[in-house]
Amino acid sequence: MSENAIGTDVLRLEGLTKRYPGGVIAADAVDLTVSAGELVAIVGESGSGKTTTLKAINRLIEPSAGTILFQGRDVLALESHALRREIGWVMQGDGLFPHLTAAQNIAVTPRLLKWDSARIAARVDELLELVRLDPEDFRDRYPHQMSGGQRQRIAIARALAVEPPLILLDEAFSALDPVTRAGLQDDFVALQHRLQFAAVMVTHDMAEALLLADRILVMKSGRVIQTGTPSDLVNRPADPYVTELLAAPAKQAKAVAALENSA
Amino acid sequence: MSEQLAEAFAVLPDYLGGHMRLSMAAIACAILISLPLGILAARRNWLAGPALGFAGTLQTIPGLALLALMVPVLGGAIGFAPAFVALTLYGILPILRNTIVGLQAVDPVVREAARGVGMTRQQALIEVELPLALPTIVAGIRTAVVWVVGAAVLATPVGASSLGNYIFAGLQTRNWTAVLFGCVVSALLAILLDQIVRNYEIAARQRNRMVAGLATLGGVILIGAALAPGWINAGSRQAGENVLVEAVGLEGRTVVVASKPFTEQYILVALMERVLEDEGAIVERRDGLGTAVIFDALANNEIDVSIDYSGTLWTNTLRREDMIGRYRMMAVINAFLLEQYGIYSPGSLGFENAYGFAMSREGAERLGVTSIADLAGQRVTIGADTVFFNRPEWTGTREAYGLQDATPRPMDSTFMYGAVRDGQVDVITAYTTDGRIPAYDLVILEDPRAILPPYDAMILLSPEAAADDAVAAALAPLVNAITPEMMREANRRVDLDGQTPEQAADWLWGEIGG
Repeated sequence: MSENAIGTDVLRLEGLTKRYPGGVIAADAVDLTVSAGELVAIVGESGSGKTTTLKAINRLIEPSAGTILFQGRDVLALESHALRREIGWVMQGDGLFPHLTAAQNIAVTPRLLKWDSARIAARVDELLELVRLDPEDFRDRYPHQMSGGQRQRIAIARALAVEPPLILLDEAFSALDPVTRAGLQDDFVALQHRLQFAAVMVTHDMAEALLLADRILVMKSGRVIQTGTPSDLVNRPADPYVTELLAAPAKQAKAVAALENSA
Repeated sequence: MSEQLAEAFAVLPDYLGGHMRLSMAAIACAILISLPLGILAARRNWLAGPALGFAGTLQTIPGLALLALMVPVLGGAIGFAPAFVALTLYGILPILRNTIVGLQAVDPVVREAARGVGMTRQQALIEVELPLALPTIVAGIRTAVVWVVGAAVLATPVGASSLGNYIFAGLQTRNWTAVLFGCVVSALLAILLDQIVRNYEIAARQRNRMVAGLATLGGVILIGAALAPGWINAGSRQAGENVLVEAVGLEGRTVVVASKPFTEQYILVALMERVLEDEGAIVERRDGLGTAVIFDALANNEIDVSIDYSGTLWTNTLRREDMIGRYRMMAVINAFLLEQYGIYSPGSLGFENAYGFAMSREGAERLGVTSIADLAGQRVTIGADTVFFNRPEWTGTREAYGLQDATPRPMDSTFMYGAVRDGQVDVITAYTTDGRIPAYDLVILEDPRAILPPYDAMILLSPEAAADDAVAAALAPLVNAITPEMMREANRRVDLDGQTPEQAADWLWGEIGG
């Protein structure tokens, strides 16, 4: 299904707004379209509304206004727990269940969907291979028996378990050390190219967004300031704030380049 | 000593079985209440606060008071019911608190993950939150087990058989072997159960089903071992009933006999048990109950027979403070009890067990005291049982004889005789039938103004027992049959010679000529 879905909209947000009692507007009329195989990053500081927007998509937060269409269906008309079973979810700090083994963690959503146990066991091994962990070694490990990077691989495998057309990532790589993070980012992009799922990732790290995303949404105080490809942002920043966000990665890149030249 | 120990072992199945049934039922019920309540309250702060506050308040009520309070709350019921309700309330707090704390301590990230993967609220609770809170919840159950098993010894004064029977009776009859035996067995039981539940806690933490299985096996063996003798006894008792065919007055009828917690009462109950069993009755004993508990239970037919004292009834039940003659007092009491409660007294036993101000002979001679009047204005210390200073006899005596300068020292009655003999207090309010008065060479001070009321020992029958002449007829040989000297000697045999109340009752029965 994912192959022939390329180019079609998996997700469409129109005027998504979240207003809290007391008048605080966390997300203000956000528009976004994500196609199959596309990775969209939402970038902003804490309080920008990026996480609110992400969590509204699978209704971990109920929006106040606007439309969310998932595969053409209005998500507000669906049962929220049924909707979440169709959308992969990877959160910061892995969010694995500490009382369950790696295999049991990965099997959670298939079990909720009442797959038979043989199918689940086969799928678990397949997913472990997919995230490059040896099934023999990792199947029966508890979260506390794995490294941070290994746990995050299990979390990604869990999100992919039922082949969802959409994966949501909430600062999924932020808690990892740089080397582990880079390896996992590369693997994730490779997986997405292979499986052609749509993905929305929230990050405060502009460098990560520039490296991974097909398109970037920059948010500040609940509003979308600019939407565009990484090259659009770098070459035609629409706002001083965008320039400011781009300054840090640019500075790092320059520093590294200068050192390389001096060698 | 070894005889006392053998006797303690003989009643162990009965007491331990009662103790276990009571504690297990209370803990099971406490879990059934606390777990759902804790689950509801964990996500609702408006409920968590009041629920924990209520359970915490219950915990601050002293155990003995909580158990005793349940008797009037349950309309005068004694025995298993009030003890069970009180112990259940006692067990709620630790389980409720740990359920709430355990669930609230589940990492919010993990809770969000449960929603994120598509669990419903109920699935998240059952598959994620409860398993993660389980070690904390089991730790709460462990605390409840230790508390409830420990507090269950307090079931004795409200009429439920428990290991407390050893402790309460032993304390009053100076049978330290029994006291120690009761303490050791209840401590061992608490430790054993604690260890069993501890293994559940370990199993929950390590997610180890084998440890949980072993703990279950241990629990089943322990509970089975404690309860089985009780069932076997119950079975053999029923078989025995069928074997007895000889028709006598009380054949096959169950008569419940209650005693207050002191030696004389234990002896008299043993004596009545003997007499009633000779008539074919099945006697159930409720030993060591409080005066008010016994009276309410008697009026409600929860118990059939007790012995109370005219002076006690006069002030506690008739609420009278005036003094009339000994025999007129009994007649007034009889009429009142029958009229108001349907309680009937077939007669008194023939002796009085009054309060008497007693001093050591040496102390009395040193201070030149022969009458309570001689204590006027003296700075003496007066030892008395825990209720005396709250009774009108004390205020009456204090006013009449000018004892304002005396210092009251309430204590358990069993200790006051030794205290006055050894000079730790100057005067005690002795029970006049106590065998330690002659044995310790104590002198009873005169009461020239007759302030202290008479305390004739009266047999009391519940309305139901009174309706059946057979009970009164069976007890008739005891009416006016016991002299003060005989009672004092019987008490002395228990308190000083280390005889059991049953042995003293046998001696008394021999003296009566039964």
